Amino acid sequence: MTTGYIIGIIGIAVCVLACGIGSAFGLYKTGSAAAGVLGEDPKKFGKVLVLVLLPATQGIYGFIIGIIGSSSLIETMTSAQGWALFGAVMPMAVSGLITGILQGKSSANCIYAVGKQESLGGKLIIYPAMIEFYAILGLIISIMIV
Amino acid sequence: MAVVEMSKLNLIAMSYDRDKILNALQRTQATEIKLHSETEYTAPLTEDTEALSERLTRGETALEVLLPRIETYYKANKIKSDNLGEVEISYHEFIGAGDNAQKCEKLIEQLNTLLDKERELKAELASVERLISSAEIYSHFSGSLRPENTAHTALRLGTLPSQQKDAFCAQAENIPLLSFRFMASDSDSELIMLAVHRASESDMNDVLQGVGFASCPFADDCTGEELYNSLKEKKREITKNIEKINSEILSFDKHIKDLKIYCDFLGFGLEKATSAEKMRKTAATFLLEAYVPEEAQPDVERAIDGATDTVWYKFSQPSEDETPPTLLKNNKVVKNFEAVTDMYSPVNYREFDPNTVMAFFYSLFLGFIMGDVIYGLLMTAFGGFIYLRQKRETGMKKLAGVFAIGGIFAVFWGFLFNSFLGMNALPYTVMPDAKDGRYSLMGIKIPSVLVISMLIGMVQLCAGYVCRAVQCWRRGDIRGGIFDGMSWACFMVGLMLAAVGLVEDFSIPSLAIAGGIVAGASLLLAMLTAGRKEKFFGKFTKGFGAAYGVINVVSDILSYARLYGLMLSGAVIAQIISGFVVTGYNGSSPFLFSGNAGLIILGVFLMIVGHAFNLAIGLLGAYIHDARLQYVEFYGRFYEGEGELFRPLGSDMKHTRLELSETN
Repeated sequence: MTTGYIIGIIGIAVCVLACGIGSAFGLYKTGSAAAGVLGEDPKKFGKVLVLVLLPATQGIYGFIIGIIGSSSLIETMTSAQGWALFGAVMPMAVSGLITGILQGKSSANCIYAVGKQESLGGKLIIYPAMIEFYAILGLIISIMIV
Repeated sequence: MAVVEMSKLNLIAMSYDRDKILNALQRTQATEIKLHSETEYTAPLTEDTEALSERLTRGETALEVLLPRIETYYKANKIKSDNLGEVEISYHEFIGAGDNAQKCEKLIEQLNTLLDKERELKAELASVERLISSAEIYSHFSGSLRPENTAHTALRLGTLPSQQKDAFCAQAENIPLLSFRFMASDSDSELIMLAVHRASESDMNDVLQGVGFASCPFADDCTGEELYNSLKEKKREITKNIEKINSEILSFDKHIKDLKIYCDFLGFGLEKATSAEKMRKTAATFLLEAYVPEEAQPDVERAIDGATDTVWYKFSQPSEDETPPTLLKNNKVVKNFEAVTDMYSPVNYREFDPNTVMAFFYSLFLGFIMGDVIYGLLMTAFGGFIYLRQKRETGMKKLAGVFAIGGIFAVFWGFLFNSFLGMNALPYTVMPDAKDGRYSLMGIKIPSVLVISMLIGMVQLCAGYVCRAVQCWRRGDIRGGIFDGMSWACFMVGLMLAAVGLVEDFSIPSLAIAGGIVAGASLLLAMLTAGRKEKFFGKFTKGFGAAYGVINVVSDILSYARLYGLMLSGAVIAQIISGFVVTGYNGSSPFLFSGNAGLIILGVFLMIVGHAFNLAIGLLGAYIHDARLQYVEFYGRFYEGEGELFRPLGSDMKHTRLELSETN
């Protein structure tokens, strides 16, 4: 097991971890917002459900990069190769972390809006979904260069 | 798959016939009263709903408390009864509930009185229990709880925390003319009796305050033992009274059916009174407008004619600026998926019902994500069982139906992935390996199943554009259907062909060129025609906007990567569980073939619990993310929603179900 191999593993672990943290934080924000809205009106459960779960995507993308990246690991990797792999997964790691958090905050605000105006439910999904676009860019680049 | 055509009913009848007509309309379960459009020469019709609302609230509150209690009692005593679930009754029985009003009101009053009494007794019991807890330490004290002081001596009785005992003793040594004795103790307190000369009383009080001394809270003129016993006796008496009241409450089980029918009858009465706000009146008549499904028109006509002769009514087509409520007509399979769409936004009356198309894709994706034969069979079995058991069309029944259908697709994909609880059972696998399989796309190695999931996504996006075209054509916008719908559908087809052609493993490079040409030509057509309704500068901006929309399309395609992620996570967990138990994981010996009885039992347990957990978590993720794909990626192409579901008069029954037939 070379240093490069260890660096590669750390990179993949950081990617999966960062995306998971981003999604977890995002889901924490949306879940908390939904609890408040549903406490006032339980009938809005269906309307807020998709908004609550929007930040979950980044964790899945991080997992995908983790799987793809793990197949690129070779025990005899050089340090340069290890750092290359580390760098290759960073776009997904960083974009997953930040977009997960921000998408969670955006979705939470949309949930509050749905609490006031139920008919906005469908329309408001678009706004936090746009944030996800940048996580997808990170996903594409990481897939391409891993 | 259709939105049912609605007719508008306009009716004028005598005010005294209003109740009869509304009852008759309720029986058809096919009339939704709308706000009357006529305002000239008429006045709004109002009814006082407060009294009715109060009666209903009292009845529902009583039932809410009564039903779970009786259910628990029946379960504990293994008593079977049909009255706890939904009660099936005839229409005449339902309308006849009005005759039972006095009896039911009396029952509700008695029940509420008993419940109030029970609440009071329970509060009293809680208070007595607190006193018993405080008095327990005094139960060992046979002296008076009110020791009498003398002219020169003060007597104190109380408790101090056990950990302060030593500190108190040390400080008490410095106080002259103080005598004390520890009478009893419990887990955290010491009962202490003190006698002190008046001269030292203030010093003693300071010390007692410092160690957290609490004076005896009881002012009763009896011993501690007597007090404790009297409190225990009081507790026994209160408990007995509570049990007696509980038995009386449980005796109401023979009236459950009547109470349920009566509560729903009151609910219907309130609905009729509330709907009065939508009607108009003159001196002697009332005016009503309602939506009626066209196919139910004959039934409604018969019902009105049967209720009264003194009526005028007419059916007409709703005008273009009206938006009637939506009633969907789908087969039993697709009906379950309507709930998925309704969660997002109900179908608008004037648009095309997407539920059949969505049902197919939803099930396809659900099956893809679960992708295991055994999981699929379990989904179909349990889902089907719950679906068939539930008589009423509840959310639970529809969800069970969705999972049952999804299970069939999961079995299909399970065979393609060759996955039986995460293990390969067939000699040949159709689909590439989910974890290690790779396609080469323009020299870049990408997981094969990821490419397949995005190709499936492109199929759905293409279907979405076709739906947009159909929607336009239904509205008579032929050009809109071609330029805004079919051109983008062709773009997606071109993109799919190009993607397949670029995958070197498929070895069809000519497809890439053909797909590119189709996609390019379709995109050009879409750009050139995007601004066809705009003036000069608008044509350019719309055209470039259409080109910019390609970025959104690419983003939407990549969103389908979640199908791969969810499928893979479930598959890997299933492989690990089965690996530990059956096939061997990372070279280890599987539990089932270890020869160790303990490991075998652990293995069986792990298989059952592990796969059950994986199935449950997988289903939750699949249900939610699948729905999100339908809402954002699929419905984003064409769907408007914002419809109002058709809710006929008298359909909102909580406890009863009307058996409607000609004879009852």
